[in-house]
Amino acid sequence: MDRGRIGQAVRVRVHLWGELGFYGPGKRARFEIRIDHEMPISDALRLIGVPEADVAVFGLNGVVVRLGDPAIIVTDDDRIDCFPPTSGG
Amino acid sequence: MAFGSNGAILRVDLTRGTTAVETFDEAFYRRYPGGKALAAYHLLREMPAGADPLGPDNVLVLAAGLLAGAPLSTATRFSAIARSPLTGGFGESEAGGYWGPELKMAGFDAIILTGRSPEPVWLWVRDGAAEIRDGRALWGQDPPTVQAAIREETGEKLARVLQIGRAGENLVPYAMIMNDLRHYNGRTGMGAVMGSKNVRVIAVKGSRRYAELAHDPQALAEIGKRLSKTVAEHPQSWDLRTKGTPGLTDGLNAAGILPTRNFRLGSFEQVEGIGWHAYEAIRSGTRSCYACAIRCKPETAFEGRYRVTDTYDGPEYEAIAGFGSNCAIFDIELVARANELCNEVGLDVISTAGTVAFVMECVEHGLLGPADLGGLDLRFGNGEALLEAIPLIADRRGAGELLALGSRRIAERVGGGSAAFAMQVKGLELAMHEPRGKVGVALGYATNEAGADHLVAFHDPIFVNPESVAFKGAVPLGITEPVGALDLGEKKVGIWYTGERWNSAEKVLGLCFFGPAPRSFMQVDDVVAAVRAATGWDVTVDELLEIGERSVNLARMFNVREGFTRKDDRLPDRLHTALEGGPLTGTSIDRDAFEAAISALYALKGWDPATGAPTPERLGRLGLEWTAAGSGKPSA
Repeated sequence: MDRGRIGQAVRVRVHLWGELGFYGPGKRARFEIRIDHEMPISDALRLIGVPEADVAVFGLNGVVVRLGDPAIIVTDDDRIDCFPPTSGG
Repeated sequence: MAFGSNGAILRVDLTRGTTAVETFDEAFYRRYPGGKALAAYHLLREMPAGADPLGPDNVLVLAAGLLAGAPLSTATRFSAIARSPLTGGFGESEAGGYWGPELKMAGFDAIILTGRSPEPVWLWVRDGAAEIRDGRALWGQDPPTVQAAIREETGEKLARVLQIGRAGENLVPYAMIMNDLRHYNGRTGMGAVMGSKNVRVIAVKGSRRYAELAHDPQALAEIGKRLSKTVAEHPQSWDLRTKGTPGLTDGLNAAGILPTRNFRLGSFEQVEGIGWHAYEAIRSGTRSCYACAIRCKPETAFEGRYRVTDTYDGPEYEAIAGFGSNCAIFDIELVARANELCNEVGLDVISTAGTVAFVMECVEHGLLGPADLGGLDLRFGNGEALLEAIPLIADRRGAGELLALGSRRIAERVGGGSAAFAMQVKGLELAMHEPRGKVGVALGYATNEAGADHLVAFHDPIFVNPESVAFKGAVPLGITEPVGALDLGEKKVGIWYTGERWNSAEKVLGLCFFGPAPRSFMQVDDVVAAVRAATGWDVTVDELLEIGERSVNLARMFNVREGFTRKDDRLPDRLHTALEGGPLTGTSIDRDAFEAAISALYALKGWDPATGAPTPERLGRLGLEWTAAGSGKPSA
């Protein structure tokens, strides 16, 4: 999957769904972050501060992706969605 | 000696028009402390086998949880239990709000309704006394009018009013019971049972305080105070406080487990129409149950194409998915109006939505059409037809005559292979959780005595990652190894067995599913400490699990007596076929693996592998030998 070059500063839109909003800045669920360069998605998650263990589903630009896939790189203007292991209602 | 209960139960013989108080000692309560256990005990002991669910021999028990009324977030719940007119088996539904705590404050742990009143009545319970009053003027009135009339007649502005709606009066088998208009015993048709007894309202008011019932009220208050501060500091309770259950929709859709088009698909292409952002636009506030710091109850009010007021609760997630994705309706305003209509007439939203979705699929297959439905064009996506159908169901008029039967009975009438996509177990429509993506939920749907309920045990995604907050909350229950959401092996079965006992203990204690770990903020040790402070008993986690297991076995023995066997612990055929749409496309529940899992579960439960009945050994271990001999008073 060719999604740009490593080394370029990028702006990423983040949406932390459900209980994951707890980990957003000021407990905000939707925000933007700037990161120094394009990077694998699991590294971006670490920078955002969301515990990987509590993310059940990870979306990149509306497509579900596997967090551990090193080929998936976050690039400029991407949208990241993190969903928790949602339970009963 | 205070042990968290009044030690008193109110008995109401509606045929004779009499009331009486019965007392029980502390040893009895340690076995049957409240809620599901206390109610199931009385149902099994007092209802004659084979009683007509809507006849005078059925017994309706309303039992507050042991901790209901304690100054503790989520300690609010009570159980409504009787033989279900929808399933013919053990009927059970829990609700929160203020009614359960108020019952305890009025001096009773439970109310047992027997017989049938010749005329509509209502019951007024106040401080250890009860009175059966004329309810003829209430019959046929809408719930807010009835609530106001009761409060005016009693002069008690804060009388807690539990009532049925039109659907209960008309004996719709999935009619619900509501309290204070906003809290619902939705499942298994307990509203129809109350209606069959000609009881419209049970209002309670008490002046006791839980501190008078508790063994160590100061310790209990300190636990409650400490826990209320942690609600906002724990991700799961923070989320419930911030969004309530409507916040679940998008995540379940992304995971591919949002029931869609009668459970055919796991993902809904137009989810934005019913997702969190759409919901935010109609949200008018949140409300709480008694003493609960979470405040998760959603409230909506708007005036657009439909006018919806904040008179009732919701829509909660179950209504959003049930009327939304599962009926292919992507309009949150319409969903909110459907939810409000169900509450106005007193119908369970899950069974209403499940039945309508099933009929929509029958229409799609040409098995039913407008000619069979009084002219109603009830196809997928037709929200206006859905709105038209709900009052008809409550009144059993036109299309409502058929729809009021529920999906299983409609399938029996319609035939044509429709039973394969009637999404029900034992006659109870599935809750809005797709079990092909979390197979432990399937075990709960299949084996639960009341039918396909989603609060029977833990949901699988909690146990995927041992570093997650939720998983860590389960460790004190003895759950230490992770297991995948689609795994149906022995490890999963073991976790499920623990989960069922723990969740059942919650139903006995009167704790909401959104209180204790692993689902939420209240750690296992906190629960144990609260029970100890309330009762003075030196309880352990194991004893609480045993209390949960005892209540499950009471329910199972009720079903055994009514002829239920292992063959009734089965899923709708659709769940054994491939899920379509979304990230879990192609996933199904393997029949052989599922049967093996049920066998493994029976082995853990000490149930006969062929019949599903508890063995004498297990009944003996739980002190339930008496249940095998039919009715009769057991020793404490």
